[in-house]
Amino acid sequence: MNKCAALALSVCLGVPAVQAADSPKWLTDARARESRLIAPRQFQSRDSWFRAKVPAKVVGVIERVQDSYSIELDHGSGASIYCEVVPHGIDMADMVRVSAESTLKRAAQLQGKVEERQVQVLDAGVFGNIPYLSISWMYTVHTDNGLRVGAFKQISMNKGNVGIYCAHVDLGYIKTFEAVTRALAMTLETTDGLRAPYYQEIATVSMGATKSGVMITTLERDADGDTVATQKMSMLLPAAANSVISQDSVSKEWIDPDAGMINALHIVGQNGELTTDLKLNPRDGQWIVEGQLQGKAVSAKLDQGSNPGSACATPAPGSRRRWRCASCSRHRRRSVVSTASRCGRPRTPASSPLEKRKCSPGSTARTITRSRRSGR
Amino acid sequence: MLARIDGTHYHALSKIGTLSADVTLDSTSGMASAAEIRMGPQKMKLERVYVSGAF
Repeated sequence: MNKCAALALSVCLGVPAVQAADSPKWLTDARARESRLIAPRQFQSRDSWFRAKVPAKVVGVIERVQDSYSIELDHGSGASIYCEVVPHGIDMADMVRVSAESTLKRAAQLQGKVEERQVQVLDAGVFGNIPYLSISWMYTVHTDNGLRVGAFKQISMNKGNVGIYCAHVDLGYIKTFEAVTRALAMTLETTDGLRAPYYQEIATVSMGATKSGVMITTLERDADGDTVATQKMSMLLPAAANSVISQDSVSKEWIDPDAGMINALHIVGQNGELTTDLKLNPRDGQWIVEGQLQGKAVSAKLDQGSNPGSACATPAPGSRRRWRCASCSRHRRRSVVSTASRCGRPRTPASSPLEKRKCSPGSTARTITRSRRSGR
Repeated sequence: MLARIDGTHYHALSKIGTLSADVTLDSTSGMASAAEIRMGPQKMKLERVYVSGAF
């Protein structure tokens, strides 16, 4: 998962190590450097699983190794941009955190003890309908030749279910990095195709003045005609000037064509560790929440008669009591007496199909599981 | 619902447990296009930047 960082430093080790001095001009000049980009070129992986078009030269053959593809993109400066395409998606925030730690660890091994590290810019946004988290770092290392300065930039994105992570270890080339990674994300096509949800919205999340997270909400229809409502959130929270905390979460609801909840799950990972793993299921006429919360087992029954709402119905305009089940249903209208949610219709658990379990964890849990297995 | 902002947006206050949020509702989708949640001394702000499809 973290091939990029190791590759980047092993190739362009000396480049960011500029003699540190109180010289704002050299630093300003170094940070203002940009490449003259070439006309976009199409490329594809060796197995033809994906293709894209970028304004940079692709170095070498792109092969699938350990569930991902690594790409080296030469944009005309000494240090290439390294990217990773992950077919099953990534936990955007944790990918950045883990890769940053690996990059700095590698810097320490190759360049010398990292004396200081600092987050320069943290940002979140979209390229079209592709959410991204980006961050740039500066660090100093103590070498035999004195104190040297290094820098690197990272960006993580999910295009549908495909994760994209890129990093560049060098001072400057900020617009170059953005142009190349944006082109990769926008033009990426896979043989799997990207199934478009029938509804999607993306929001940025800011803490104070810093955009540091993204929230993606999608509504898709599954093979049974039920709606899967998914809300994913990825956030990077500065823990201090020199580190970040990652938080990735996913909430899923399976909703029948009448807008009734079938079941749901909520998973949160913080710094790669699973902190919340809860499922909501109807059983014997009651709704039950089960799972783990902060390392402790949880099992709770909702009050008899409680009716959890679902994410796929909205109030009909101009009416307080009539609700419209949106395109996840057949546009029926019905009265609502429950105040349990903004959009659900009252429904007794007993009338729901029991134990229609569709709770697959998605990338958050998969990555966390993988992280734990590998001891990351 | 607190006030109408314009033809398609409403200002509302949303409360879930101990959390309360200032919300801007978009009447086209029925969803929040912006929200501001006070969390102790911090404010968390959500701002919709992309939307597609019918809801």
